[in-house]
Amino acid sequence: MPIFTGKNVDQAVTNGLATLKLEKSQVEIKIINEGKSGFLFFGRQKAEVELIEKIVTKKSTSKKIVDEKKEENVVSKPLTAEEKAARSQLNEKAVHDVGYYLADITELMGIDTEINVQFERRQVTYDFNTSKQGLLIGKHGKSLNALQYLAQVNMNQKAVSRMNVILDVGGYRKRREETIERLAIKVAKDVIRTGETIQLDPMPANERKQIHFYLARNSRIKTTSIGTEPKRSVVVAPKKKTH
Amino acid sequence: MTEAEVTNLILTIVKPLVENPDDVQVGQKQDDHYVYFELSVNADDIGRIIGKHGQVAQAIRTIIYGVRLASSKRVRLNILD
Repeated sequence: MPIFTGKNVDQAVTNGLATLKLEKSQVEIKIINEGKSGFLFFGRQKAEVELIEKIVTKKSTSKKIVDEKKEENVVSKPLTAEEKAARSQLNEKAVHDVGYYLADITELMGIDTEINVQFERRQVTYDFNTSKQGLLIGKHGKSLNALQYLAQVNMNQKAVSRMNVILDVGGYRKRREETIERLAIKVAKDVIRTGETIQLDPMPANERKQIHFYLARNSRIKTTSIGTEPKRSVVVAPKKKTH
Repeated sequence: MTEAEVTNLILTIVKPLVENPDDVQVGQKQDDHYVYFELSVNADDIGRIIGKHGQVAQAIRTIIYGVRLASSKRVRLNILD
């Protein structure tokens, strides 16, 4: 979501809300820079806030919200250079529509959820806040990844520029990433210590990529992947001495 | 979940992904173990629903196979062409 500036935080938020034509209750406010009044002209900084729109679904009311929001989006006026603004407006609408696409699907899956949308440059994160985390994530993130893929496909059709879609459930991606990093470090140690090749369990592409990434810096091992999707797995082998 | 709710879920997933949402239809068959939902879309949209290496179809299946029907039968999705 866009970033707004003002003399102080309150001013920045007010500016932002006026531009987005939203109420304070409809956004989550993230303060990027509190701003400084400075001394004379030195050190004066404008306050910067990022406004994140909240999408809330409650079974019976969600349809109503969809209609209202769609109208708002059409009305909101671009700020800067026309073409650029028109494009970013289309992209913002796409971010919006995909958010409701996800809200509709999860609602029918019987998952009550609040979705926080974060939109920065080429990346959109939809963070689900729900009591049924497990149902939404699935085994090793299977459902979440499937839903993410569908959202990505939908986004590609709607957005003007290429946008990366990420779905998260209460910090699940971060936790999973940390788990993967720990695994990578442990395996690397084992391979170096024993000098034997280790093949990991099958993993989705993005997780294999993380392992390759973490271990690429290590000059004593090399990583490759074998097998075919969806049972492709990383192999960590000791590097042969070159001399 | 009921069969009607699953049909609704499939439509909700599929319609925004196709060019001709009005041509999307979901039929139903069943045997002793499975309820088969038969999805048909406009011939121009079949590629969009299957996707590269069947990835879109795979993702749709992953989501709806997670559904538990009241009748305790398992869910299957057939894409008709």
